[in-house]
Amino acid sequence: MIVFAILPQSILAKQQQIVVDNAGILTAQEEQRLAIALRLYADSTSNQIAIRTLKSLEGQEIAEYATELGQSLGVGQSENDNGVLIVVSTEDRSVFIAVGYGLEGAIPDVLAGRIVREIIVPDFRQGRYYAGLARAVDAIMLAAAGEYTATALPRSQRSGRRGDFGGSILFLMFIIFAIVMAVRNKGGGPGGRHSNSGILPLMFLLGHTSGRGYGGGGGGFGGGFGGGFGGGFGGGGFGGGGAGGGW
Amino acid sequence: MRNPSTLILIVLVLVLGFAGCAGCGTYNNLIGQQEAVEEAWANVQTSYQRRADLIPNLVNTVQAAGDFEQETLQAVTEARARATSINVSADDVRDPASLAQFQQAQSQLSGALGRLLVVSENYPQLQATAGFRDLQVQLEGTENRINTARTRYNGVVRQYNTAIRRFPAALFAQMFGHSRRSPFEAESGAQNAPEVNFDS
Repeated sequence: MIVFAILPQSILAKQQQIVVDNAGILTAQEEQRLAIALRLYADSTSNQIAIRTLKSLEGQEIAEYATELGQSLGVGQSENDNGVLIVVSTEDRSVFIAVGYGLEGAIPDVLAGRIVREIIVPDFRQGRYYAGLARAVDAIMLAAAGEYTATALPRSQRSGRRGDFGGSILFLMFIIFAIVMAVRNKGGGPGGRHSNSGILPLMFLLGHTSGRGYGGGGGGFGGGFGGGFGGGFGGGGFGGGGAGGGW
Repeated sequence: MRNPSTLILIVLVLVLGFAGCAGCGTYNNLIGQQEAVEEAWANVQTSYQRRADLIPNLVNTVQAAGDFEQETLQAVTEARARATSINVSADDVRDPASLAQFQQAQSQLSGALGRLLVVSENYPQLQATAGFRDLQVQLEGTENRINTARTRYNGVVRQYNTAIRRFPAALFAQMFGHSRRSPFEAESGAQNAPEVNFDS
């Protein structure tokens, strides 16, 4: 077991956190793991995927709630509207994936609907909230890679063929993470995890999250990658795209 | 400065200049708000159009699945034809009657679609097809977009209507062709909007 590094979340307003679990369906470790993967993803692609869980919608329509929350938080970048917000309400037993304007082409409602029906709902029915969310996030990332060309990537990556794009994003994240870990270790951090630091982010992103001992490494991203998550949500817009369902 | 008439002149120039600036500022502000209203209206129309575009596909899918209630299908097709025949430009929205007409045609279409979805529950093999489920999701998505576009349209219209009645804009808003826009009324038919239930 590796002791958790302190995340800079404590200094961020709760509003600006990428994962907020008000329903309490995730353990602290799971919440942190998702947050790390999502921040890493935002920093390397500028797409922002955020998660909010709550106990009850108090009679509100989940689609409307998620769309308005995404809009008011500003998930995604304002110039690209490339945000996704996943809302889970436990008492209503419903979930909604709200998709920002800029990603509606890459993640059409039908696809969002399938992710809900085929990935989230089966896991949630068995109470596996983390697994459902993590696998849904992976699916969203893969889908988004199909269309969206991120401003944060160097030009050579941006003009890459579409088919390769998912792979190149993962590759880029892999490199960034490896560099960050190397820098941290050089700076006097614990050396124990050095040997496998490179493969861990891939394990997150692909859903093979059996690396239970993992916890650190949340801080330090965002510098030098304008449009990542370094500055929090970027003002992306939502117009009602996405889909939801009940479990 | 000892001459009182010079002083009066200076004051007058300052006052006029100030009023002019304020006038320009208000004018520009109103133009900006008018643009926002027009943009929001365009979004409303786009979202309704999106729904209309889905319907032929929906009708085909339902028909392909076998002997579906013809009456229900026909009602949807007719309501769609009526709804798409009413075009309301951003300028026409000044007239509450034309907005009401537009809204009525669209809510009739919502009603017809709602009935179609209710009736479709009697056709389990139709419900089981992936094509139909996807269409349901798309339909639900367009309803959500329509809601969002309408709510935002009402928001900017409320701001605009307040702005043109506020002093000093009210003095010359009429002169520059600004007049009240109608918001959408909460409709009694809102509960007729297609409800898609994933549990069923």
